[in-house]
Amino acid sequence: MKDRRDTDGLGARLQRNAPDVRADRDWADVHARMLARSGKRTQRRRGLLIGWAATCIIAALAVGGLLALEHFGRSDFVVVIGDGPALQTAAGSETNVTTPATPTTPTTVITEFQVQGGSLTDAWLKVADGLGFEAAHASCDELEIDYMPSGDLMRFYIHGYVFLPGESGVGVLTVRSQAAVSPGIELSVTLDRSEVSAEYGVESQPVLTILAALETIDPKQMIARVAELAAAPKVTSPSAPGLYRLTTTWNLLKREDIPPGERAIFWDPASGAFDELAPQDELRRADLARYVHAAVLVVSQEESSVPESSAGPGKLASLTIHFVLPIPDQSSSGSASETSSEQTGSIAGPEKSVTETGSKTPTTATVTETSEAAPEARPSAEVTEATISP
Amino acid sequence: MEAERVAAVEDLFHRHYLPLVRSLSFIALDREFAADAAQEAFLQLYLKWDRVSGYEDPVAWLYRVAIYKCRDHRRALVRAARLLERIAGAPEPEEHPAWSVEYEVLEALRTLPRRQRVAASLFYLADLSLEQIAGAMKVSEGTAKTHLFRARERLRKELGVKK
Repeated sequence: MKDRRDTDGLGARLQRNAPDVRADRDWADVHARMLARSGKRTQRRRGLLIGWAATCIIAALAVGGLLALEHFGRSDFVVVIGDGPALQTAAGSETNVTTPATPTTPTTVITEFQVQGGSLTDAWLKVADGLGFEAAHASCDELEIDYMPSGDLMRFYIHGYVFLPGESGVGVLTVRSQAAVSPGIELSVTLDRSEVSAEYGVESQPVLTILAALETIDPKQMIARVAELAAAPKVTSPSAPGLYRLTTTWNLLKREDIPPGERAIFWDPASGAFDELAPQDELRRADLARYVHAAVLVVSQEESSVPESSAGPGKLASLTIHFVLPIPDQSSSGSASETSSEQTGSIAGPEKSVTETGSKTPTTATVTETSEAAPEARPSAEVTEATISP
Repeated sequence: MEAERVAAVEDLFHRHYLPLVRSLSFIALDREFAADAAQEAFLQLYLKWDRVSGYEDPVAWLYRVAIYKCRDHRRALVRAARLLERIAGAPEPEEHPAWSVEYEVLEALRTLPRRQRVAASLFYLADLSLEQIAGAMKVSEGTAKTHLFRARERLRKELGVKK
């Protein structure tokens, strides 16, 4: 103690009463605790590092998932619109609307709207533009997304409005859709037109309601459905052999997957021709996706077959899928028929049709084989349409 | 690197541990807890050495951490005592220094307000300068001087020491 501090002896008295301290022994304790804490600190740092790495991985997965959702759910999809004069007019006036050179019936016009990127609202605006309406505003007020158990199919339901400036105000273009997309295939949208209801209070205006039935097709399921219809007993009778059934897997289609006596025929959008899977050929996933895409492209809505009362929201009114039937070798006595006509009844030569009626939606399944010449003068394949509905 | 850190802390320990524990004993009036608080302060010094070693006066930081530990301990004791009193009606337990100390000195320390006790302990037992005392108490130097002055006056009066 310095003298200047303890002139009166107070400091000395306090010092005498201070406890004894064994610094050496206590240093051993402190050193041991230091070592223990140091180890814990290393472990903590390692834990933090692992935690950060896990967080980064999870974040990357989340971002990837969102991007995938954005890609598969909202962008780069194709809108296929059914027939009608307005659609044809719109198709001719829009730069982003193309009418593919597909084999169509006189009553079917397939119009393709390419909507690259953007939101669903943007897509609906484009649809309205394509239909010849000057849309003032669009909104998508319902969006439900479901994943199928398989994980590769995404189904969503959209209910949106497109507000149109009508003759006496603003009309409403209602778009209801149900669609599904799966990786490797673009979303197809089929739209149906009918009269507007009084639901929105605009019955005095020339407003269209579009009941959009976005068919949501897992390619495999779609083709299988077509094949199922095509393979109906009436159609697969000896007088119409060669109808095909696709029971292949999604990843790889082999010739041996096709049962004997059946053929796998696809429509190639690039060439506009129909291809047949040759023996020993393999269709890999990319090829299959291309063909499936083609199949989707020829999907159209047949407006005349849709009763308005039953064309509910989100329901597919009808779906027409074109495919090729091989012409049987044996002679037939049927006469030519229009491909647009629907015939119901039993097989009568080369003209055949099958009609199915469902309970939920206007269900019409029609398989029509058409021939316009004598059997010996027929081409090897012709267009047949099947109209199905989910 | 690690060895240097341990060596630096050990050097400070041997120079400051004894006065630190002694002054903390007078502050907390508990020798065992004073030792625990001092050791915990050195442990914190070791863990934060990279930062604290850059300070102008690491010793003041060391004392401040130890004093905070004592304060927390005191508060915990008070809370526990109040709880006991509320539950069992027991009186608040008195501090037991656990070392041999004159009763008169112990009573004199008890009469001191806490801040005055801290200032006097650091001054007489840790031999800190007024600047270091102010740093350890995290008050201005003038405030520390005032606390120390009042503590000395009171201790002189309680212990019958004449100037």
